[in-house]
Amino acid sequence: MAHRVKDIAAALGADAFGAVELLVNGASEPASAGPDDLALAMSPAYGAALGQGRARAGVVWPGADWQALGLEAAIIAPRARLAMAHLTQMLDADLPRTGISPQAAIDPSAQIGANVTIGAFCVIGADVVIGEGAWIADQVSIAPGVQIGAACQIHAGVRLQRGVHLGARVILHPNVVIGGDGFSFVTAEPSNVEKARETLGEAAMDAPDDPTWHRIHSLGGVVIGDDVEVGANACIDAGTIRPTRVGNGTKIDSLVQVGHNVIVGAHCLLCAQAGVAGSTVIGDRVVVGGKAGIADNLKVGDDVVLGGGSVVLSNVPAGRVMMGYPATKMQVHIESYKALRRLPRILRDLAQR
Amino acid sequence: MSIKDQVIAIIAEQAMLEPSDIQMENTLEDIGIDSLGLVESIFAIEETFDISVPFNANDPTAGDFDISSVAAIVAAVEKLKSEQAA
Repeated sequence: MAHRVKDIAAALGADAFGAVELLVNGASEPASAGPDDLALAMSPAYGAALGQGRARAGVVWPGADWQALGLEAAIIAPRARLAMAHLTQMLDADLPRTGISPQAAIDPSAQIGANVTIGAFCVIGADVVIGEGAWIADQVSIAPGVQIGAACQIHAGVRLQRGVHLGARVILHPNVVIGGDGFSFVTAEPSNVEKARETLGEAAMDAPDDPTWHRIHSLGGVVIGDDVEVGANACIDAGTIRPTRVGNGTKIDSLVQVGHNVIVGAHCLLCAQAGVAGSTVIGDRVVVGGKAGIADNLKVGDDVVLGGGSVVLSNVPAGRVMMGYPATKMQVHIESYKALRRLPRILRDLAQR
Repeated sequence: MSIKDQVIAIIAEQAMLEPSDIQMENTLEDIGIDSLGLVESIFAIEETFDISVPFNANDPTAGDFDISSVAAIVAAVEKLKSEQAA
């Protein structure tokens, strides 16, 4: 669908210049843009690439001489990534509203709101409640009693196990699993793990008389707030007695694992392959970098930022930036790294004395 | 190779550029080296010239080591080398 440059600018809250009535069909990278594309050149680094493409209109950086760059119309975006959020939303296709598939197996006791789409081969259990306008793709399994808020988007292959409650406007990408049982087992006598932790590795690890791992069942389910997004193949495990919780507005990337009883606050970001072990409590607006891990039963304060690959082994006060294994304050980490890098020369100098 | 050429080679390697692409008046930001890239560049300078660079990773602009441009870094390394020789 074609949009006028000036309408796009209005949607972005940005200013348009030049031939603002020009119609564009979609967005494109500057070098590969055709004459009906809107070229996205939001920083000077893309200036040269504009010349390689054939765009007549573009989104450019503040201060760009768009006429000299060969454009007939320009949108100037002060904050490029924010403009991308609005622009991609505007250009995205609507979800196909195909109604309820006759090939879905829906328990008669399920309560389905108005304007809900349910794809083929979905299995929806007894007493499930699905809010108004929810969109559910094909091959989604929804266990008995699950509650889904209004306008949720649930993509193919998602599994929602018992005791799961989703707020409104939650987006679950393909193959997300919410409410799988927690990884929760216990031995009759204190296990080697407990001994290792208690003595910081000093105690000898012996073969226990009874090595059986007794299963702790997960009865607590999962409660997900409003406007949460969960990436493909991410898993959020059920709580033991009370629910595992994810707060409003939190975004979880693909392949993230959130363990049982964890509480994640509001507006957090958990990047790919992050892992949060059981019963840990994460504050609001925390950013967990890719591949970062947080051990079990810890507290991470509000507004903490964990660098990629860091592993948190102790509580983190609010507002701290952490890095490394074990994670330390980023400043301390860089100082330690500096000392480590200088160590070979220091040792050589010492040896010469 | 002169100190200048060696410093440029180190910076170019960190920025994934050819040494010929680096201008003396460039800032590190111009050539796409961020704060952690700067830390790596400084280690490479220390290891190449066998000097200790008095930099403060938490506030790189605060130390005695001027990193405001490639020329400034070259001058700072030359100063450190001459002090070492003295």
